[in-house]
Amino acid sequence: MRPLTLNGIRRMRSFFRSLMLGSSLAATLTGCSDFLTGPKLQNDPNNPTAASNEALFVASQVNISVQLESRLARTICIWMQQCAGQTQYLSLGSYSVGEDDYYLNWSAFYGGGGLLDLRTIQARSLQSGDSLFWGTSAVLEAFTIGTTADIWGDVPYSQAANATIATPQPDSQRVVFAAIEAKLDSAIAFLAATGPRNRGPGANDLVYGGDPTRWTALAHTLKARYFLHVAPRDPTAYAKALAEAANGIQQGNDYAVALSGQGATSSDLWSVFQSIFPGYLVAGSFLVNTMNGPPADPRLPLYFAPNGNNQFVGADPGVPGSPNLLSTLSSTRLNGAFSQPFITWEENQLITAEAAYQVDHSDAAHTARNALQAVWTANGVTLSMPAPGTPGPNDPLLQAIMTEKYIGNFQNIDAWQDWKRTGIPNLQPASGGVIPRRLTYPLSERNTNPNITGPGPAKNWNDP
Amino acid sequence: MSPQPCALLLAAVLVGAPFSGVRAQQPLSLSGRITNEDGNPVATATVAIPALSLGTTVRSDGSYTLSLPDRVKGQAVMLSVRAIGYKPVAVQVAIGETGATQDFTLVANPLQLGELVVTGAGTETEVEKLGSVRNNVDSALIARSNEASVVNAISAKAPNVEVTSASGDPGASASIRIRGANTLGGDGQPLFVVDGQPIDNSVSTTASLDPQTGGPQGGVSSPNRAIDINPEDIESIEILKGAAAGAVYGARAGQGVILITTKKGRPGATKYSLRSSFSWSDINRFPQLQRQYGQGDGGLPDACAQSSATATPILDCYATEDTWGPALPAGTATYDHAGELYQTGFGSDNTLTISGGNDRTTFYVSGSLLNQNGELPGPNTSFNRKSFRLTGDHRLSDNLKVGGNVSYTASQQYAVQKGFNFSGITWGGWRTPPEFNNLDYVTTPDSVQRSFRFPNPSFGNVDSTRGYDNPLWSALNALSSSIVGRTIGNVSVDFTPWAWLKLSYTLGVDDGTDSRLQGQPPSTSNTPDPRGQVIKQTLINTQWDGNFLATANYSLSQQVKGTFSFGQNLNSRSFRQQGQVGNGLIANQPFNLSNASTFPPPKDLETKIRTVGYFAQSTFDLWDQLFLKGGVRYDGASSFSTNDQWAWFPSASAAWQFTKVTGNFGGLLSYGKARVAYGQVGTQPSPYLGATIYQSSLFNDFDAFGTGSSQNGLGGLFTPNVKPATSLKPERTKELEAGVDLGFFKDVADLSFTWYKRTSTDVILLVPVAASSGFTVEGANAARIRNAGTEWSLNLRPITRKSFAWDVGLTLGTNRNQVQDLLGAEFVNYGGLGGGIQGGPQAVAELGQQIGAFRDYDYVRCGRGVILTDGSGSPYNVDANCTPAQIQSKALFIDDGTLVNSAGIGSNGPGFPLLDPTQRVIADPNPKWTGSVRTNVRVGNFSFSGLLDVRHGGQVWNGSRAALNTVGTSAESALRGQSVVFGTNFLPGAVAGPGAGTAATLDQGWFANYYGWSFASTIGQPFYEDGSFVKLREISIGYSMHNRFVNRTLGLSSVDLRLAGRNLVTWTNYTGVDPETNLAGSETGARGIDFFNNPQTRSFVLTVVLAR
Repeated sequence: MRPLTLNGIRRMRSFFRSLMLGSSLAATLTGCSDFLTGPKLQNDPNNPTAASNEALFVASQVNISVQLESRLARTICIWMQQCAGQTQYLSLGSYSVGEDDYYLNWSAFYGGGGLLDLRTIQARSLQSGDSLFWGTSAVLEAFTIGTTADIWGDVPYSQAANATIATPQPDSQRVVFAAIEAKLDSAIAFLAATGPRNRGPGANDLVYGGDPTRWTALAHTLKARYFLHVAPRDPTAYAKALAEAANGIQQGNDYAVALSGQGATSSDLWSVFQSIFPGYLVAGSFLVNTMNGPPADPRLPLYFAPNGNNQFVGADPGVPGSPNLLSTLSSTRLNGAFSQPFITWEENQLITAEAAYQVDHSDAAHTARNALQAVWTANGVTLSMPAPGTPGPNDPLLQAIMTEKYIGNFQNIDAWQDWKRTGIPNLQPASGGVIPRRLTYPLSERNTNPNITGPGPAKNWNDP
Repeated sequence: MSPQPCALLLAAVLVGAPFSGVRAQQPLSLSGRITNEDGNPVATATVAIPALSLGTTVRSDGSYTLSLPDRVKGQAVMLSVRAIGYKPVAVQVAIGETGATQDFTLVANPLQLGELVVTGAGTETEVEKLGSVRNNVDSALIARSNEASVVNAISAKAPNVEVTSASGDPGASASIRIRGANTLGGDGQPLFVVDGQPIDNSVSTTASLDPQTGGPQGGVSSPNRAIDINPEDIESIEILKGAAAGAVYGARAGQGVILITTKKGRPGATKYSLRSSFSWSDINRFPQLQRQYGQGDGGLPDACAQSSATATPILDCYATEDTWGPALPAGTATYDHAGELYQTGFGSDNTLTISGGNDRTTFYVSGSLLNQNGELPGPNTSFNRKSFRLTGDHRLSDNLKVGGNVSYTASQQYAVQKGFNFSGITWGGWRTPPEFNNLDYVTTPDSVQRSFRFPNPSFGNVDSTRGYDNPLWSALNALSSSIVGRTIGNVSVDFTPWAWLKLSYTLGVDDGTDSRLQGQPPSTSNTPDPRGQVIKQTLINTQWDGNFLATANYSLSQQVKGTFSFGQNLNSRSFRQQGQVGNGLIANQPFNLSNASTFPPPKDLETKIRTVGYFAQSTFDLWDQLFLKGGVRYDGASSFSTNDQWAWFPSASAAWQFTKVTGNFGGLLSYGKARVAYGQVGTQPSPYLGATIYQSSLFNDFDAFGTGSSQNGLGGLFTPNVKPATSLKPERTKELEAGVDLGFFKDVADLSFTWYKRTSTDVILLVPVAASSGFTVEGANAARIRNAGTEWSLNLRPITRKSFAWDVGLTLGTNRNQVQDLLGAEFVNYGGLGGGIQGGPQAVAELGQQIGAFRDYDYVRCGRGVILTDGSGSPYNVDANCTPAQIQSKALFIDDGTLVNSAGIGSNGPGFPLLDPTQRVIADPNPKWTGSVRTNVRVGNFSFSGLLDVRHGGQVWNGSRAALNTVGTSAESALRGQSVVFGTNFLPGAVAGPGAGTAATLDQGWFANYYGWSFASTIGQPFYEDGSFVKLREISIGYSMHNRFVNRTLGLSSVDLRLAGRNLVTWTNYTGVDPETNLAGSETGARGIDFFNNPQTRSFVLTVVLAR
C-alpha cells in the first residue's frame, strides 16, 4: 500500500469514496444498541423465574427424604451396626470419614428444598392467609432443623437462610431445640384454622394429602421426639414428651415417603444404592444377632435377605466378609417404591414408653409396658414383657423399650440419637476405633463462615 | 442467526459501493522469474507494486506477470517480492514501452525478518516490528506430528504452550495451557480462530446427562471440537500467548488465541497432492499387577468364586471384589489383566488437494478421509473424519477482491468407557483377580455377562448388575458415539479505495451438530438401573462473526511512518442441548429411547452470548528501527451485567532493532531486537449468572446419584444453590512482557528470550458462601491470580548446504502461578469436577498455592501441630514428641498401638502410622519447567527428524494404584504378610513416634484402610507421584524423490516417503500408565488425575505424498 501523505490528502479527489468510507464507519458505530440485550441474552431461557408454593412444597418433601436416605443414613446405619460396610464402604465401619463428606446434607437442610424455600412458603402463606400451608411447611422446617441440630449440635438457625446475613451465627443446640418447640406450637395452632383461604398443599403433599389432622399429630410426635433429645440436660422434658406423644401419630399414619419407584431418579435411595453398588452395604451383625433371638423377630425377613446358606448373618464393623455368606437388605427394603418411614406411630409409642418410664417408675409398669406391648403386638413380636427393675440403664424394661426402638428405627438416623442418649444397645466399636457422637462441621462451611471456626466438639450439648 | 442489521448493512456498503475502481486493462506488463540460491523456483512468492496496489502470486515455475496501467510507461516503479522463508526484496524497475522484465534470486531468511505475520482480527505486521514474542507452527511441523487433532499437533512446539492429551483413545480430547492457568471457571482453553472466524472448541460428555454415570471423570473421552479441522488444510498457526498480542480479541483472549490460517491456491499450473498415511499403534505403558494371590478376603478364598472350579458351581452368586485370598497354588492359570485386551490399532489418513488459479482467481480444494481404530477389539473404539474444503478468491478489479472459504466435516467417534465408572475398561479389568479369565466374558449358551464378581450367572440374572463389568464385555457391548456434521466458512471482501487505505469485511459462521448416543445393555454395572440404559443427546453450536477492518498507511517523513487501523467485531454464539436418558431396556436391543422403560427428566438447555467489539490500533515506525504500537479494544457482551456492559482493553508495545545502532559486533550478532509489551485481555462470564430462577432438577447424594424434585406426577421446584450475582464484568488479565530476539553468526543461530508477569484480577469465581445462608456459591469478580515465567528458544543451523543440512531447536518454558486472593475464602474447588472422585483428590485454588494444587489426606507427621489422644483419653502432642530435625523433615509419626487421632481412629497396630484427619494441600500438578528438543538432518534426498518433549516436576495422583492396593491386585499388594519397618524398608524417610522402629506386618487392613483408595478413603499422600517425563514425541526418516523416473515415468513432480514414530518411548519414574493423562480431559482446568483412565498409545506411521 502506498502511504498516505499530506500531499495525498490534498489530492484526494473522489467524493464518492469519502462518502462510502464515512457511511461504513457510521454503520459500524450505530444501529447495534439492542444487540446485547433482549430475549435469551439476559434472562435464563432454561428455568422458571417463579415457583408456586405447591411446587416448592413437593421439592421440600423430596429433599428431606433424600437427605435422610443419603450417605448420611447409610453411615449412621453402619455406625449403629444395623448395617455393615463392605468393600469400598469398609472404612466407614472404622469411622473413617472426610471432613466434607456430609456437606451436601448440611447445605440441603439450609438451601433450596430446605429452610430457604420452606421460609418462602411460610412468608407467602402469611400474605395470602393460608394458615394450613404455613402450618405444614413450619412442621417440615422443624423436622429439617431439628435433624440438623441432632447431628451437629450448635447450628445456625435464627440467622440462617436470610438474604441479609451472609455468615450466620450458630445458635446453641439448647436454643435451637427451644425454637423448634415454639415453631411446632405455632404450627399446631395454624393447622387448626379453617376457612376458604386455608387450602394447604392438598394433593401436592406426598405423604398426608394435605390432611391437617395428620400434620397436627406429626407435629406433636416431633415435639415429643425433640423433648426427649434435650432430656439428658433437662429431666422435666420427659413429662412434656409424654404429654405430646399422647396427641401424636396414630397407628397407620406414619410420616413415610413413598416415591413412585419408577427409575433411578424416583426410586427409594436404598434400592438405588444397592443396584449401583452391590455388596457395599450388608446386614450389621449386632442387629441381626439381636433379631435372630430366639425367638426370631418376625421382621427379620422383611429387613434382610438370607445368605447363600439360607441364614441371616451380619458383618462385624470394619471386618471384611464374603458377600455370599452375608445377608443383604431384603427385597422389601430394596423395592424402589418402598415407603421409607421417618417418623412413625411406633416411635410415638416408644417415646411414650420411655418417657413414662423416666417420669414415674412406679407407674412405668403400666403405661410403658402397655405402649411397648402395643408395638410388639403390631409387629408380631412374641417376647415376654419384663418387669421393671432397678431404675437405670440396665433396667430390663428400659432395655426392652430401647432395643425395640433400635430394631424399629432400622435405617433411621434417629437410632443414633437414642443410642447416644441411653447407651442402649451396648454397641462395641470396631477394633481400634470410637463410635462418633456427632459429625464435624463441614469443611466448606468452616471455609466460608468465620462464625464456625473449627470442626467442633466431640459431643453435642445434649450428649453430656 | 437472528438478523444483525448492523452487520448486514456494513456488508452491503462494502460490496455495493466500490465498483468505481474498475479499470480497463492495458497491454503493458512486467514479468520475470523468482528462484532461490539453488536455482529452484520459489513458488510461494508474491510480487507487488504497492504504489499501484498491484500484486500477484507467482506461478509454480516461479514466473510472474503483472499488467501495468498505461500511465506508468517510462516511469520507475518499486517492485517488492516476499516469500515465506526468504528475505523480502524491493527494487526499482524502469518501465519501458512494452513493460519490463525483472528476475529475482531470493536468499534464505531463517530469522523470518520482513515476513508478514497475522496478528489477529485481520491485522498483520512484519516479524521485526512485533513487540511481543512470536510462536509459529508451520504446515511441515503439523504434518510431521501425525496427529489427528491440531491441538495435539502443536504439542512441544512452543515454550509454555502445554498440551495434555486426555488418553490414547481415538478422538480423545487434548487441552492447551498457555503461560499457566489464569481463570478458575470453565475449561481455560484458548480462543481458536480459523481464517478470522472464531470456532467452537468445547468438549462435552454424554454421560453428564446421567447423575450416576457421572461427569467428566466417567463416561468416555470425548473429543474437543478443534478435531473437526483437517490438520493437512492448515498453512500455519500463530499462537498469541500474551495479553499484548491478544488484546485485539479483548474479552475473549484471556486464555490466549490460536490463529489458524488455512492453505490457499496459487496462480499457475494446477497442483495435485495426495498424502496417504497408515499407522499402527499400541499401548505405551501398563501398570504392574500381582499374579500370586487369588480372590477372597482375609487370606480365605471366596466361596462363590471358588465354586466356578467345581462341577456344579453356585449360580447367581456375588463374589467379593477383593483379591485378598490365599496364595494361588502352583500351576494355577493366571492372566495378564493389564495388557490382555489390547491389540494393534490401525489407522489411515488420506488427503487429496488440488489447487491453482490465475492472476485474478485462485482456488484450493481438498478432501480427506481419516480412519483411526483403537487398541481394543470390536467396533466401539474409533475415530473417523471425512472433510472437504473449498477456498477461492477472485480479484474483481485492481482494488477489489472477494474471497470465500468453506469446509464441511463429518466426524464420528466411537469410544469405550473410562475412568470413574463401573463399566470402565481398566477399572473392571485391572481389579480382576489374576486367576479369573476375563476373555471368557459370556456364558455358553446363554451369552450372559460373566465377570469376576458374578462368575456363574444364569439366564435368570441377565438383568443384574455385575458390580464391575467385564472389560471385554463392556468394550464389545457398551456403545458411545458422537456423530458430528460441521460447517465452518466465511466470505470476505477486500477493498482498497486508495493506495493508502484498505478496508475489509469478513463474515463467517461455524455451525455444528453433534448427535450423541450412549447405550449400556442389560447387566451393565454403571447405570442406576442394571437393565441397561440409552442416552440420546443433540448438541448444536452456532457462531456468527462479522469483522470489519480499515487500515490506513501514513508516512510523515522518511523516518516516521506507520499504520492506523480501526475495526469492529460482532459475534453471536448460541448453544442448544437436548438430551434424554432412558433407563431399563425392555429388550436387549436396540439402543433406542422407545426401548427403555423409565425416563428421568430430560435435559433441555439453551444459551446465547453476543459480543460487540470496537478496536483501534496505531503503529509508529521510527528511523526504521524503533517500532511502537498502541491499541485499544472496547468490548460489550450480553453476559456482562447490564449495569456494567462495556470494558476497555488497552495494549502497547515497543520493539527496537538495536543492532542498527550498535552494529553487529564484528559479525557476532547479526540481528538484535529488544522488545517490551503491555496489554490487557479478558474472559467473559458464563451467561445468566445474575438471573433469579427456580429449578426442577435433582437432589444429589454424596455417592453421585440424585432424586428428582418432581415426584409421583407432582412438579417440584427449588431454589438452586447458586446465589444470583449482583454485578459481573469480564475477568481481566494485565500482562507485562519483555524480551530479546537475537541472531548470531550470520543467522547460524538465533535465540529468543521472554520474561512475563501477568496478573489476573476480577477472576470470576463461584465464590463459596456459607451454606447456612441458603446458598453455597455466588458468581462474583473475586479472585486474583498471578503467573510469571520465562520462555527460551534457541535454534542452531550449523550446516545449511544444499545437499546436507542440520538444524537443532530447543525450547524451555517456566511458569510460577500463585493464587493471591479469593475474596476471603481459603480455597475453592478448581476446574469444576476434575478432582471429583469420592475419597480422592480435591483440586483447589488455594491462597498462596499454585492453581490446581491437591488437597488430600496424609499420615500424621511432625511439625503440623497434630494433637492425638492416648489410651487414657488424654491429649498427646505430636510435636512435643518430635525432635527439631524430625519437625523439619515432617517425619512420619509411628504409633505404638495406643494412640488414636482426633477422629477416634487408631492405626493398623504398633509400628504403623496414624491417619491425619485434617485435609491439606499435599501435592501440586504444575510442572517446574517444560521444554523440547527438536532436530532435523537432511542428507541429499533423505531427511531425519526427532522431537523430544520434556516435563520436569509436577505430581500426578496415581489413583489407579491406590484403588488396586485396596482391592489387592496391584503389584505392591503382593507385599502382604511381609514384616517391614516404616522409614527403612517401607515408605523410606524420617520417622518419629513411640512406635518408630517397630516391625509391622502389612495386611489387608493396612492396604484397605491406610494405604489405598476407596469411596470412604482418607489417605492420598502415598499416591502422588512425580509426573516428570521425557518423551520421544516424534522421530522420522523421510526420502524425497523428484528424479527423472518420477517426473517422466510416473508423471509426478515428487514422491515423498516418510516413516515416523509417535510417542515411541517415555522415560519417567511414574508407575502408572502415563504421566501425560487427564481423566476429565479438556473439560476442566484440573490436571494430574490418573484414575483408571484409558492408556496412552504409541504408533508407527508410514506416509506417502504424491505431488504433481
